[in-house]
Amino acid sequence: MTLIIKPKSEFEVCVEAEITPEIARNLEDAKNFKVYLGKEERRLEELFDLEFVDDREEKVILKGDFSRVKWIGREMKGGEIIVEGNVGMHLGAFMEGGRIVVKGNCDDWVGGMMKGGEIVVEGDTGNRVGCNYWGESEGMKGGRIVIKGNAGNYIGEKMVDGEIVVEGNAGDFVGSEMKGGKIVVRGKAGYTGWDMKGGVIEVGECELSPSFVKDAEGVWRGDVNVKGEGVVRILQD
Amino acid sequence: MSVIYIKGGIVVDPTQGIDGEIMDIFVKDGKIVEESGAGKADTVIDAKGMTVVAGGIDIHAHIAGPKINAGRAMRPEDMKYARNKSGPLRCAMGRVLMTCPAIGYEYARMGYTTAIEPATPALYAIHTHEELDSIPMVDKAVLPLFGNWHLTFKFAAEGDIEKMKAFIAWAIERSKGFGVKVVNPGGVEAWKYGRNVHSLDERIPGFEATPAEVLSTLIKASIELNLPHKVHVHCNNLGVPGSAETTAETIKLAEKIGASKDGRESLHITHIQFNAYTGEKWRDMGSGAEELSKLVNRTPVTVDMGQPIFGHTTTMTADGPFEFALHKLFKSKWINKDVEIETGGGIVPITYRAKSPVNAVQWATGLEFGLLVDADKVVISTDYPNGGPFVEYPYIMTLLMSRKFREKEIEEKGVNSYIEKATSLPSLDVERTFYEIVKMTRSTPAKILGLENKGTLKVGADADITIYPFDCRNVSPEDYEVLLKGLRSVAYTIKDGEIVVKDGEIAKEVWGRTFWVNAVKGATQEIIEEDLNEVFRYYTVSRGNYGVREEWIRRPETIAIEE
Repeated sequence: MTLIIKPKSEFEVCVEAEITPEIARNLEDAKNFKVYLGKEERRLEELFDLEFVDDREEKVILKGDFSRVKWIGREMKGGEIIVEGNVGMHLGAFMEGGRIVVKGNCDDWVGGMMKGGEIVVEGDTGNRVGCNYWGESEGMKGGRIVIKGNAGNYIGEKMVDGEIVVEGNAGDFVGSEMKGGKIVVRGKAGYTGWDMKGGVIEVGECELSPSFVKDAEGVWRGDVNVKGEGVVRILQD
Repeated sequence: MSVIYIKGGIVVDPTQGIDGEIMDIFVKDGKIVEESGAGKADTVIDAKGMTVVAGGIDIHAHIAGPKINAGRAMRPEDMKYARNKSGPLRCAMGRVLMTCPAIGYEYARMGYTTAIEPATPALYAIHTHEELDSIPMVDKAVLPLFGNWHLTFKFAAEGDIEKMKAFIAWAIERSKGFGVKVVNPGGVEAWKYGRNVHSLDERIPGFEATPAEVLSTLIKASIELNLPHKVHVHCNNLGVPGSAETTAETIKLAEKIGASKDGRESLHITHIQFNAYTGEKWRDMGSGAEELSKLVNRTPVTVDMGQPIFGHTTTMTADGPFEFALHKLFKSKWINKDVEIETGGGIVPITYRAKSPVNAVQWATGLEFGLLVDADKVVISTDYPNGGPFVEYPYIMTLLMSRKFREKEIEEKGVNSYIEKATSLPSLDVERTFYEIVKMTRSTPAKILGLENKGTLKVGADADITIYPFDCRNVSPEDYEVLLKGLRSVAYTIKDGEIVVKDGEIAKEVWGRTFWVNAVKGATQEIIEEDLNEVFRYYTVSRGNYGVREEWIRRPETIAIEE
């Protein structure tokens, strides 16, 4: 079934709603789904208008302003979430499968520590896309994040596997302490490759860490400070 | 304050020799009273079929102070685990390294009402008290660290018991502490030069004293001072094969000195499991628990288990050299802390794995102590957070009570079969009775701490009461699941005469007291004036930096020692 969710009003404090397509399976469960308005526990239908379309899909459509709603798609395993607007922090954190499409912009922490599935953002994103959460030693482990606009700082920190594609520009510290996987930034990026141990970064233009060495094929390898075997291809070189 | 009747419960109170009698308990104004003095009840709890015991006491848990706080900062990933995020209570976070509210709530939900923070540098006591003041639900106290303080070494080298007494009294009064904690005496001083001490008779670098002299002087001084809780020691050589020998020597020191004036034990060896390994290398390490238990049972010494729990945790102790060794072993992130002051500690995240032979031996060794040492001498602890979270005490209690549960855990967790060779656990058929478990969590720690109004249901005692939702007379070790469930989630916790937990959920947030010992009248303070001034003339901090005023503490309660 498809569940269409609209906020009843503007939120003054942030809402934490770990909405996944699974809640679209049953109307009663969806109505009673636990969400948090600040530190108050609420039911989903208290804060949002819910509308069900009986079809064969497992899908959630978010309509309206969700820029103060956090943790959408947390740990989702399948199905689809479509956000027709902007969305708040931690979209698709720990995601394992399925697909999230955002028609607007995202806040920070898109796909934090995600393991699988796909996130497509048609607008811009904030910082720390596909990163590790504070204190964790490994970031994104699989799946794919595509950002059609620009991204902020710290893209793919401590990334282990998977792919991040930024069609626009990215901020500083792309792929810091990266261990594997691939990051593509088609436009410009700031500082890139700091303490990179493995994986591939392709970037249009960037300020590469000075601790990289150019090999015979014109590919930069490093970061030598950490005996890294990362590869950085600068497309406009 | 209200009057509560607890009707028809099955009462277990080792301090009065009551083992499963159906009795009524009356509570008024935060105390347990006679029926005649109770008056009209505001609340009647029907405890039929339930077990009524005193509130639990944790004798050793690092719940406040600079180390746990640095640990929280170092391990933000631990804070992903939310224990309470909505409602009138405060936000409670943390899987092992919990926030202050989480610590209070979890103790109460487990039926514990008192907890002791066992290692704080006197200089940072003010911070520790602020953190303790943020922990709701439980009564608490703090033990300042003495084992690596230059003045301790000086008085120990001189063998001057009078000066040591005055110094202990001064430091405890200044830090609003409760007793004397010693961590790796001399070893942490050596750590400041990148070394450690390896035996009790090795000279501490830069001083004339040895660890044995430091310990003996401190024990003698605290006996003479009549402190309610005597010396609380984390032995030298902790966490390495061969440490059992050092522990045995430490116990013998106390044996030579003898018991306290009131007949209680004069030394508490904390988290003994971490200090009870035989062998020379990790490859041939084994458990020294059998021998040490016999030794503990016949000497004036008490212990707590320091039971490790399989899974992730964070070690933190004021034993810098040991933590450095751990950091080298696991190549993990670490913090080296407090070396610039009268102690020096470290923090290292680790994981206890059932399949690892070393961790399996540690797990088994802790349980051996819990099974082999007299219930009057051993207290359940995980050395929170070093062995694991204290919320696992019900799990430990069940392991001690049921051999079947132990066998199931060994089987299911795949505990390394090396324990069959290196420990006696698999062959031990000891099963602790519920009465003994109540001793190990209530009356024994209260006795060791010298808190007469705790750990008992006597008339006049503090009304700290736990009501478990099962009949302790009918639960057999075979029904370990019932036991585990009941122990994990109490029916009621009553703190100072108020119902604070009902059916495992917090019913009311209350604030406990902070006990501290004022022993300044027990020693002539003037005799150390010159020594103190001399030290602080060259120290980087001044004497005025030490000191917590009573009015800065939320609910201080002084235990004054006259003469």
